[in-house]
Amino acid sequence: MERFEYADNIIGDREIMIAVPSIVIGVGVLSMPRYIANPTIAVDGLMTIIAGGVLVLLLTWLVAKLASQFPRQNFIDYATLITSRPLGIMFTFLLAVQGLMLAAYETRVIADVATQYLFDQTPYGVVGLSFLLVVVYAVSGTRAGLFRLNMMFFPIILVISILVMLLTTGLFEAGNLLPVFKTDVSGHWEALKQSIFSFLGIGILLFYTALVRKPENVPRKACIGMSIAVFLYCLIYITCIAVFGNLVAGNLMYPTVELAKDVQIPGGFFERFESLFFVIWIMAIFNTTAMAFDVTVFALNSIFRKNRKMQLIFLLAPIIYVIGMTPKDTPGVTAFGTFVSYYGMAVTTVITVLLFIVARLRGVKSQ
Amino acid sequence: MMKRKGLHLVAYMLIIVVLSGCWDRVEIEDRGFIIGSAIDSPEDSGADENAVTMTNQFVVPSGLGGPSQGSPDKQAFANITARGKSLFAIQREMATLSSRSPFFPHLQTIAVSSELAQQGNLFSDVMDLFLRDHEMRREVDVVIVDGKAKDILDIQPENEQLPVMHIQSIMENSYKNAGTLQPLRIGELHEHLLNNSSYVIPRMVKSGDALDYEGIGVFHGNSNRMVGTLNQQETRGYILITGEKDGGKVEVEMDDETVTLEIMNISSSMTITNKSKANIGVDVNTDVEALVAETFGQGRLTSKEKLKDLEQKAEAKMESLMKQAIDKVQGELKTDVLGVNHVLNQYHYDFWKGIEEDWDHGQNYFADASIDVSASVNIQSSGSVDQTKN
Repeated sequence: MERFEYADNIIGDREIMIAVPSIVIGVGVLSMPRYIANPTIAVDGLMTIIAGGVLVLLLTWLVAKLASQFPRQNFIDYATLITSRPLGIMFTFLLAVQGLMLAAYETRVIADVATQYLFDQTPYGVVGLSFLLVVVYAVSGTRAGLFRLNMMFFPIILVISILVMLLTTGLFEAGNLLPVFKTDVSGHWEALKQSIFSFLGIGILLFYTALVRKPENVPRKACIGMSIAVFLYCLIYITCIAVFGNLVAGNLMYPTVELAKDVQIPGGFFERFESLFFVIWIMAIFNTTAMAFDVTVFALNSIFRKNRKMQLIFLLAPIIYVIGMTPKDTPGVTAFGTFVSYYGMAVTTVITVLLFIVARLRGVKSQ
Repeated sequence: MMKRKGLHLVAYMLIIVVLSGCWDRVEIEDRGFIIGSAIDSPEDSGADENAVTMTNQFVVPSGLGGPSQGSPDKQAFANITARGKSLFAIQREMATLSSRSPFFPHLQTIAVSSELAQQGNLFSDVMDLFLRDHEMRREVDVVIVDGKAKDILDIQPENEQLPVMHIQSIMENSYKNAGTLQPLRIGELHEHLLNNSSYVIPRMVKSGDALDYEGIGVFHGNSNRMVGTLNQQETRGYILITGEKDGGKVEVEMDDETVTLEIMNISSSMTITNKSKANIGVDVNTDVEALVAETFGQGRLTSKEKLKDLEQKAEAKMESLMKQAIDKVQGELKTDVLGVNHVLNQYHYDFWKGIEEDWDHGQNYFADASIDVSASVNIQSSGSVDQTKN
């Protein structure tokens, strides 16, 4: 009897579909309505989220299309094939840095949020450390295991998000959604940047597509996955504006958390719904951080000929921790987040577009 | 091999110690659950002028008997008052006054004395902590108390052990009486404060051992203080204009007999008819569905004419109530709590941007606006009998 092998490190296309929203939905959602509501009027920001979502969907399709042209080939291999070995190494390194910083940022924000709402006394460094240790444990396992973890957590995250929205419908005020189409162009532009930034993380597809059994399905599946994230963001934004109104939503530090705090379950037997929301949202952030970390390890590992996964993990974990804990205060963390967003979006877009065009021009085909 | 095992053992021991620990542990016995807060101006506002006093109602769990145990001798609550320049400082001081440290997430009601609310800006200042602190929830109800706010935390309710729970039930039952409003959630209050728009907060009066929940306090958004109150009649008119809640009653005099109608549903709409700065025209249409609740007299009500007549009389009565409320807020208080500003903002945004700065302050365009009201009443049934007495 043949033993069923779980750790085959090959993933199905449904797993890659779930992986996309899993990495995109992280700490960004907690503060996203504030950044979008601030420069816009009433519910106009919704259009901006959709516009940003469409742009990101285009990028997703481009990334997935590029990667799926080279089935079972690592990023570094096809980047080398398209350009040259030194450039391939450089691109890999730049993308690895993105994953590293994203993991550091997520760790820091979850530590801050947990300190603000859950543990008053515990220093954020300790919360961040314990969170990161669990992430290290997840990354040390097989990659396919990580994807299955995504598959398991994601439905729970969706259910809790929809539950928060359903349970706050009693507080909806339709008047908060009016007037429409009054935001000027500069307001939309400002919000558009924030909207695109909150969809950060699509670069993982450049690496993980190599693991997919049927790469030709990846562009479609990745776009479906991304659409789930866009749809969820729209729902959360509408709910926040309808419940709080534009001004309050733009004034709360973490509108999505406050939304969960506003939930009152009829009958009054369960008063603090936000504790449940937190537990589950930490799962979402865990997914994002673990994948960002794993993609860094995956990328750097592909540079070496020998498998150095464990060494890399133990080398990178302290670096992530130190980077994450460096900002001193909230403005520092915000500045760090802005930097991560700019860097991540720039690196992913530039590398993808460059490789895509060069591959077309030189007619590079998979070997 | 043995050495390795020993190392593992040490590691497991460490894990047990670390994992079972909690940095933020507070035993439940040490938490002082606060369910109500009252904020007053101190009696002798001598040297430090911005000082406030805060009274917190702590739950004393041992005083809460189970339903079968009957009422224990001990009181189920303790009110602790402290005074200071900031609420946070007061809270910290309170921790030294009580054996349990204050814990706010179960806070239900914040009562503010009208005396404090009438001082400019102080009201929003004291609300800051309740909005900023992470322990606070945006669902907490805010009420204005005529006189000392701490007094309402001292009442001895008949069938509740905690005064705050009694206050909460009174407010929850408010829908049966058209003279009152739903309590204002602090989250909504935040919206008004950020908007700089005027708003109303329900008002509570202590009379003897009972609490009267009636009338509303009118807050002016720009000067940020309470400028006046609406009595029960005016509050009825206010509710008919805004359609903020359903329910209530209206008494109609018909052929020298009083007929009481129970209001089932109010839906009101406001439209802007004239957009000129000097004279903004506002139309308020209120549709009311009602039932005949009680009659003092012998008239038959089933005939169509009779019902029509009753409806018309009720409409006239309601319109006069609405006009009364408008006279008060527009003529006397010059404060837009009717929501005209929201309608302007939502449907006439560009026009609103031009007059926003002089709406109910400065030029006060609101005071010059002409507001027309019309009510239409639909009586659905005359109850389960036609006549009680012939």
